[in-house]
Amino acid sequence: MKKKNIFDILENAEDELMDDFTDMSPGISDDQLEKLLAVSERNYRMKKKEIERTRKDNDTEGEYTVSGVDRIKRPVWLTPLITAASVVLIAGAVIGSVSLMKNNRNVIIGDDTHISAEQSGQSGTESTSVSGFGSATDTVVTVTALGTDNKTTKTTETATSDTTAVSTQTTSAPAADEKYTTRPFVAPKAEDIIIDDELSRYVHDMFAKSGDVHFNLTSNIMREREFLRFSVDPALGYKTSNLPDNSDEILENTVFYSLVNDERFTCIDDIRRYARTVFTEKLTNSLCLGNTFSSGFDDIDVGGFLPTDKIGWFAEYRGKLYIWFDGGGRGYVPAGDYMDELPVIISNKTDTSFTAYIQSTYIYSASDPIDPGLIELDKIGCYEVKFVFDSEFNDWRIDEITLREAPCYKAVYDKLPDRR
Amino acid sequence: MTGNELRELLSASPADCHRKLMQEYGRYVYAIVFNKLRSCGTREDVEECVCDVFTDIFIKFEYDEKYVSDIKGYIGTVAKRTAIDRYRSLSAENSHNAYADEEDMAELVSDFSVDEHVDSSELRRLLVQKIKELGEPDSTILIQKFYYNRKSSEIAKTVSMTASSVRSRCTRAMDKLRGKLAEVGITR
Repeated sequence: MKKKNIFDILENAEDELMDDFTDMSPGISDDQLEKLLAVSERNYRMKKKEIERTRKDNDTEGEYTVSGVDRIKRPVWLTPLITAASVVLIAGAVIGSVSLMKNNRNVIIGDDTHISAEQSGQSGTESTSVSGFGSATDTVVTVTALGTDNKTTKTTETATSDTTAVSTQTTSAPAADEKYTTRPFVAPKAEDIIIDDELSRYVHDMFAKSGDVHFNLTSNIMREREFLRFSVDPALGYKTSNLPDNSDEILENTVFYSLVNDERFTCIDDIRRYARTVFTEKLTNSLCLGNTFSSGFDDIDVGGFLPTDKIGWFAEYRGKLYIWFDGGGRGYVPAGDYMDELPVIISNKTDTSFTAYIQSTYIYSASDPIDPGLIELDKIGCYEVKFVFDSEFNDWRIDEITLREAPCYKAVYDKLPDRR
Repeated sequence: MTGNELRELLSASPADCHRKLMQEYGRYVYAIVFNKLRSCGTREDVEECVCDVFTDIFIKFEYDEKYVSDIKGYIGTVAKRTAIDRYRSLSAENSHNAYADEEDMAELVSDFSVDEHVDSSELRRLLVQKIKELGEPDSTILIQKFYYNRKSSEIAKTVSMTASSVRSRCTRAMDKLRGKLAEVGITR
């Protein structure tokens, strides 16, 4: 058993006794002091460093400063893959654009000759689509589109006196040297050209507006899949696909109309009023390369025979407005498709009419296109637009739009007073 | 060391200041720490705790000058609290597990007895007084031998005597102390 030590009672003593214990303590030798001091200094330095770091952290708190490097490792194959994908995408966009530009061309309308030549990407001898309306004309014109390739050429024929049929047929004849033949272009005389900036601006605005009107009456009109089907005169040669059934079956001597469901237009008069804001009565009636409007055949049941003179782009049938649904192959007035780089030129101005020449964006030859960065006058065509004073509106209206090939614009441009 | 002296030393050379502080207050701190850890810690534990005390003091004096007005009082407080913390941690190490059944809970009452505490305090004061009455070097020899648990050879260096002399003086001093304590009624 451990012997009881009276000195144990000195433990946990009061503070005032500490001085006595200190005086009687063994003392600290120099070696021991150095040792204790070294340990204390080391601990002190560590603690101080920690305090400084904490203080620095607190100082920078709230400054929203972030530093450091975030290392992200990307797969090696990613860069070449992205590059290849980009190249494919750009190439696709370029090829697609060129292809679209090639297909969207060859539209023309003349004074008394209505010509439609629609480029088709298909080849072969089979007729692909039929369009056109009866139009009173006594002129027979053969037109072939300038081929961008030698596979497809279309001919548009107008025939007969009272009920003229316009048909588009596809043949496989080469078209390298063929050109549009319509009323020949005759450049105005230099003395007939006038400089009228205000009128030029007016023409510019009207032509632009005509593009909007035309677009709204042909493409930008709301339709429903509610169809009228009629048979037509086989002499017209009309063919169409089976639209209601979404079938590829070709139906001969058949036309379809679809119901217009557009709050802007509920009847033929709405259409007419809208077209007359820019076009004359004559051009309004032949806006879509034939009769624009037809009505008065309510007695003919759906599926029955529709006389040729009752075929129009818009039809009013039993109180409802319908629009021709030919599925393509139909020409339009080439309105509004122009460029702004060159001036609008006015000629032959009288009190009742004048003719304006507006630079076109038409590309005439895919093998020799216009350089978009350089205006080459001899490669530029133009729109020959005839304005007539319309007494009904006490204003000018567009009466004719004829697309002229290059270098027609240059022929007129060179006769401007400052270029003679 | 006064507060001004400490400030001057600290601004001139912190390392010298630290050395000076340890030379001056090292024994004092050691005495306090030893007094708290005597029953549960080894000599190394005591020395480690002394280092912790001085580390705290160095830091406090560097960052806050308000502590330098009463240097000894402040150092004594830091030493005591640090030693108490160390005592608790050392005691906890020795008794990590405690089991308490519901029946035992009734027995878990405070073991602090005011009467006993007053008695112990009085006894300590009396004991220290009687030891000091023995005079030097007997008082130092007894304290170092029985309180600080030093060997006779270590005590001999402190009091500049031989180890055998220390032993013989220690025996005689202990007999004297018993006689003095018996005079005041302390016989155990």
